[in-house]
Amino acid sequence: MTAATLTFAPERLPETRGKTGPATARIQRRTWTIWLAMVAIGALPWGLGMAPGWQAAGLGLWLPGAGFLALGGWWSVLIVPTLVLFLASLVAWFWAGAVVAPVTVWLGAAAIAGSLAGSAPTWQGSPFVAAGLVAAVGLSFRARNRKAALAGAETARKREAFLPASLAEVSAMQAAQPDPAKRELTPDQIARLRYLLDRTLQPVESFDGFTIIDQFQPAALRYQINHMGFALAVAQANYLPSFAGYMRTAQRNLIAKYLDRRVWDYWVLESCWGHLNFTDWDPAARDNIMLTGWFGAHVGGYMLASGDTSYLEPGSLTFRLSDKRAWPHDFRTLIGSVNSNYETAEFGHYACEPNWIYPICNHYGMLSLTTHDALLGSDLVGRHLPAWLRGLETEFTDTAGSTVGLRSQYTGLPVPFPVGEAGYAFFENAFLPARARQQWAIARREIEPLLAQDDAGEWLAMPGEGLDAGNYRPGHGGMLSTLLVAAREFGDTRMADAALAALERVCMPAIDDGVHRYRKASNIANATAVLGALMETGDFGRTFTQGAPRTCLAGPKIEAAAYPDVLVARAWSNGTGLEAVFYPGKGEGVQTIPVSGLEPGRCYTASGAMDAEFVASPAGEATLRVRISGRTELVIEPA
Amino acid sequence: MACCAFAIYLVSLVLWPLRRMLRLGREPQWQADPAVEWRPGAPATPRRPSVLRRALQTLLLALGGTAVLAGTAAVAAPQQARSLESAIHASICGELP
Repeated sequence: MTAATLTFAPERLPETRGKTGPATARIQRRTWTIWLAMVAIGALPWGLGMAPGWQAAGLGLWLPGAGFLALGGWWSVLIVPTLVLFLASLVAWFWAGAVVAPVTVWLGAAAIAGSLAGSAPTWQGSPFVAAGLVAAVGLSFRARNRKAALAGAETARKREAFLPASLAEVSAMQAAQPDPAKRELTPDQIARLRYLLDRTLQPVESFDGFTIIDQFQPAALRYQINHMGFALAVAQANYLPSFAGYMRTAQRNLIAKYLDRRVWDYWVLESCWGHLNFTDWDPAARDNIMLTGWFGAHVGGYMLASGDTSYLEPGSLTFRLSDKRAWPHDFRTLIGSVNSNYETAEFGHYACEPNWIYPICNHYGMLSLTTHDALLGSDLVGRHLPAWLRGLETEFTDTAGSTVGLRSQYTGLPVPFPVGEAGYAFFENAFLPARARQQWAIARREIEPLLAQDDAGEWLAMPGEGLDAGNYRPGHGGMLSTLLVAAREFGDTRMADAALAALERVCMPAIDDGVHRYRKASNIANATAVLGALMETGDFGRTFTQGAPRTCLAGPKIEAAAYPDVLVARAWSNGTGLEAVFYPGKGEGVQTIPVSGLEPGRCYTASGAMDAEFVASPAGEATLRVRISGRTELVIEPA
Repeated sequence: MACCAFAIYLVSLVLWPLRRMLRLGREPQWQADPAVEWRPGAPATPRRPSVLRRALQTLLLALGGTAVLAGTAAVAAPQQARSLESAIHASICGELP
């Protein structure tokens, strides 16, 4: 793997932590220059003794709403609602990439103050009050940043002290990778998988069982679809590589759902209010790695897991807005967007919503390149990973050594919220395994104090009421399911069991009609929990770098099984034979199992089928009758 | 999910005082999520947007939608304006059918 050529020392945190990277420094200098220019321009009407309206408008350039101070009296109070509105506009900017929102509020307030001023003289003390307010805000941020930097430095010191030992523990405790030829879903895992199958096997245009709140942030349909796709791809590649049937239908349905305009037309709005682009809303062009990176990894993962490469066909992923407007894409052009954006990414990473660069979404982006390399033999990871990693370490690492959650591309300003290392770790295991181990070594040591124990065993006692990002409600489902996935990826049985036990304790598990779900968790948290419950050591990385074993893709395959009557727990081929395990979903009985990929005209034995021997058709197909009662094995071998 | 978690964390910080005020000191009560409660054959339960969510949607519309519609009306062809208006309703205002 190209990643191995990178020099990365997992026992040390980046030396660049807490420092301002070159791209960030340049953009921040530009931001401060623009603001100082605004202050200078705003001061001109006062210096030149211009009309009161110009003086009020000028003062409004210093700080949102400061122009109202110039009006004096009760008018000055208007600065308070203006600042509140400005804060709200920042939320809109952050929430939906509405770049125009804060600009509109700031300049609009200045213009309104100017128009209200009339000919009455301005309050001469207002520039001093405005300057005082600016200084107070600046000093307050400075003090806060210093405090955070000191706390971060202390965290970094502790981390560097425990990292060598924790890394050794990660290696020592790692469970062995499972034998791919022996894997079989347990009844519990099938019940969990059915949560996804119920939702993905409904008609493509139906979104029943999906959270529908907004299409901008974490509850958006697109993220639910992608995470459901990841879980299905892991199930397909590792347990059911020789089964097409409902697994293929479910995954293709998800991809088709994603192309529904209701899922992606948020980009029309974000292009307009973020890029000021009112004509071309191609979702796989500039920015939008939250679509191209996530969806690219999803489609690539599906193709690797199933062997179905139909999404390489031109136009197979067409985003249709109306009868007359559509953007034809396929897997190559989707990844082409990620590739071309990385070519010009000043920060080494690029934006989701216009202006906002999220390192986590760039992890999905690098994962999408990984799948492209695995499918098509390209070396996109090798091409972009060095700059990507350099950007991560120089532009997005805080004083504690944690990744800065997001940074404004237009202003260079960070939002200093530390995203948990566990959230990054399992992605990096697919393309940067040394750093992945470091991230997990940090996460597991810092999570350890949350381990609680009673007669039932260990579990993670999460503090507070939590927040489930998938439905914006209190709850620990999102966090616990992410920890479960990370722990499983690194074979950390203790942490994985503790995370699963916590899910069972606090997220209200329920089983109805053989389908398991966590009632106190969002749809995406449930999907992530399914992923974690299916995984064993290295499954995530292996699924997106290798996919299904070649023998399974080349050998006999079960083409169909009636869902939910027949539940397939295992489907494996050594290239000539087929081994499968079924469970009844509705009741015992005889079921027909069509098989393809056989050698035409060859005689086979079928242990577990009602016909012990059969001859494959000239097309290499056969239909077997199997009485399914409890755990039922079917073994097909050349006679 | 990690980006989602902190995205929501940020917004929750901004909205925290309002949430606490609306809750009047009571502990949050668990409500079933219609998406997770859904089972095949059962009709999907339509969600009633909360007051907070309606406020946020209104805010987004006020700040972004108006500017975009005005800009689009001036710049884009009528067909594009219709698509845009439809997109706003689909993404912000309305539930998926």
